[in-house]
Amino acid sequence: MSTPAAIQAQDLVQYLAGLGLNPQQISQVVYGLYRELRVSGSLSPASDNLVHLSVEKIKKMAKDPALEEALQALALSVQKNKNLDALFQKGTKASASAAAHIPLVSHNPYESTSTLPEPAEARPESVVIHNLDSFLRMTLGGYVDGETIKGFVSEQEILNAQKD
Amino acid sequence: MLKKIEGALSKFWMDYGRAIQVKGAHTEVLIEPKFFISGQLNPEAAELLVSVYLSQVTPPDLAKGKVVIADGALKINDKYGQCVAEVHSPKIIREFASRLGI
Repeated sequence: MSTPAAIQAQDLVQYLAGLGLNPQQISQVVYGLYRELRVSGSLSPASDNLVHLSVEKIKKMAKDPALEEALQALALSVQKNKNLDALFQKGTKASASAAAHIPLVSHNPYESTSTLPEPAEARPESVVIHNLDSFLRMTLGGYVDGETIKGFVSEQEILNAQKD
Repeated sequence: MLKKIEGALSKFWMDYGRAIQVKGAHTEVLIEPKFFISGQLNPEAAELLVSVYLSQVTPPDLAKGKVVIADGALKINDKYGQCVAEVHSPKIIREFASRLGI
């Protein structure tokens, strides 16, 4: 199957199923959209087929903001209900905030990764940031300079203003 | 700028042992969160940043009001006394209070 130029969220499951992934693997891919995967070493289609098959496609898909939002809702629904039914329904809507809490995705379909996470009870609001600039300076200051943080926060403010 | 911040967060994430490395026969996969989702800092990353910051707070810092616990929340203040972030996670608050004997 060739990679389509764009995949709508509602078509993603069918697309992945068309690649031969089973529901468990599909759920891992969906969750995987919220993780950055970095692959090192050489890929062998025979022994690392899942990564070989999906990582570039996943990373491309993950950069589609429209898809990202829809998939956040999808991932949240799966996480909340602890079953995969939502993967096969269209138009699932849910808050995106808890979708940041996701299980790890494995490249090995035979590893034990089948446990769905606990509901994200209170986690989305466990830390409320009032001042991102100061917060990053205080907590991440040893890793990045103040000018970068300042520039980043300015960019975010501009982006947020454009969204509004 | 985003890439730089994400790079810093990635390094931070790695340094504090949260990165997951999956080693296959021919492949190594490093798994870490997307640090910003829809423009918001991933709560998972925010929690780790807060936890590490709080682990470095000393009793004199507490006396200066850098961190205040009130009404079931923990407030992190900047040097001007302005609240930068609020922590509502009972686990983080409990660990912090326990460490400083509050």
